[in-house]
Amino acid sequence: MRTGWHPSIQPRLLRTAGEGREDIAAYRAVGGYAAGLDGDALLHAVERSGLRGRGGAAFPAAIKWRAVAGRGGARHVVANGEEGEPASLKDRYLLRVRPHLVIDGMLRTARALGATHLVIYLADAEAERSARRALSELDESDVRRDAGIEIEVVAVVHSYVGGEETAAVRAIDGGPAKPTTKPPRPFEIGVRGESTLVQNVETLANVPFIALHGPEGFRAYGTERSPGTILFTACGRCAAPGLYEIPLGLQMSEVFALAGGWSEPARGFLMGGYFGGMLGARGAELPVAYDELREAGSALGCGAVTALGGHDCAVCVAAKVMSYFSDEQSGQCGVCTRGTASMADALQALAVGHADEAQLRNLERWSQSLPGRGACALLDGAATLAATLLREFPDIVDAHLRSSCEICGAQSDHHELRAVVAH
Amino acid sequence: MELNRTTTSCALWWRTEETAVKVRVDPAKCQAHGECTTHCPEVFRLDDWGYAYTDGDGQVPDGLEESAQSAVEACPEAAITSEP
Repeated sequence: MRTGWHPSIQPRLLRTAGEGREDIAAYRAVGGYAAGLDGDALLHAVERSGLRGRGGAAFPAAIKWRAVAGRGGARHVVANGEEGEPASLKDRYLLRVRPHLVIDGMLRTARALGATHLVIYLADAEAERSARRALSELDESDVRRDAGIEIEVVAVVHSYVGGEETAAVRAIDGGPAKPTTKPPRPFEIGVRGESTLVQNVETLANVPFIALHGPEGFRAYGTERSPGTILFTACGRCAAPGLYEIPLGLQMSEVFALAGGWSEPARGFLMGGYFGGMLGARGAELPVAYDELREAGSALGCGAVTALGGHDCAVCVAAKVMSYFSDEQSGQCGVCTRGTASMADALQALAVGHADEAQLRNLERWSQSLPGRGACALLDGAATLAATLLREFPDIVDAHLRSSCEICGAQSDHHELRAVVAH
Repeated sequence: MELNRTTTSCALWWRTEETAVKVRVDPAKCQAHGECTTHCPEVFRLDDWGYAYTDGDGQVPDGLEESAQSAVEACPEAAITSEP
């Protein structure tokens, strides 16, 4: 996996000293597991740092922490590394290469919340081997571990919905890795029926830095509302796809310049893994930051962006991704099963130039009416995909209605969906 | 003045308590029987595939509490909950 970072920063998350997997000695040599802000002081520091969840929702970490810290009884911390978004690489990178950074973040978080049971939840086989080895290394070391702290690794088969927080809780308790209806959320009823913090691996990997350098140190990079750095997965039409650590707020075109530049002029983007839907060429000028992208009608999600070039027909990309959503829905909610299938059918018809105005109107109506209807957010992502295709690429949609797309031909004969997507 | 303010806030409190009935359809349980819309079409709607949903946050308008409750009870999947 190719990695790099923006020259304006000193990386916090990528490994820069040495190659390959970082063992416990290497991690301690760069300051890992050192004493820092602890307990309530760490909770305050995380709050003032403005750290937001890196899993996709960008929810303030401190609010989640407080919700768990405020509950009685036993508490659990889950490092969520399932990484359901197929375009994303960051969580498996962290677990494969820097497992101790994640575990250090978990231990500090657990101490601040009074949690004694910690789970590393993942799907990638190499990440699993690395995490298990890291726990053995930790056991054999003299790193401070409070009495009674138990850490385990729970591995599941990769799926899109498996990374959802209630799916994680269910899988850890021995059930299927499928979401449940909310409320209750895991901070209310989580692992073993007790209060649980489910936090993305990358979010936890930022905690040691905050503990050692304080909130002001953390805010040295990034913007006021999107502080810190992120691991950005650049894919699609760029010369050097890979994982890049960048300060939040950098312009999208600057980020892709790091990834070797566009391999063909950017016609648009598939955002946030797939969850953020599609964004037109205007995305190149937008800042890579949570609220700014949301205000532009898009989403950064887990920080994975696929650049679409001149040969990528937006309708074909949307049809292919919608089919993926339809295949990946868990079959639990009828509205999601039927809704994603209907939207996939409509987009497939549109892709091959067979859709009529009525089908397009249905697609538009579903894109507006289906968000919020499912137990998890998969249906929201699918609806966003349809809505953003229609909003960002009206000319290409219109060309497909007339069966005259210049990019793909939009012909049903010999038509193959040419889409630059990861799955 | 003080007395008036107290009276007003009490009245508001009482009204909030009385009208705060909310219903929620669990999407993982709904099997599109459509019984809810038979009992309370003002609150429950069916989508293109027959699955039930409510507009907004599921707040039941004044006067419809009883029919909403009968919809809750009529659901063969026990997919609808009401609170309080």
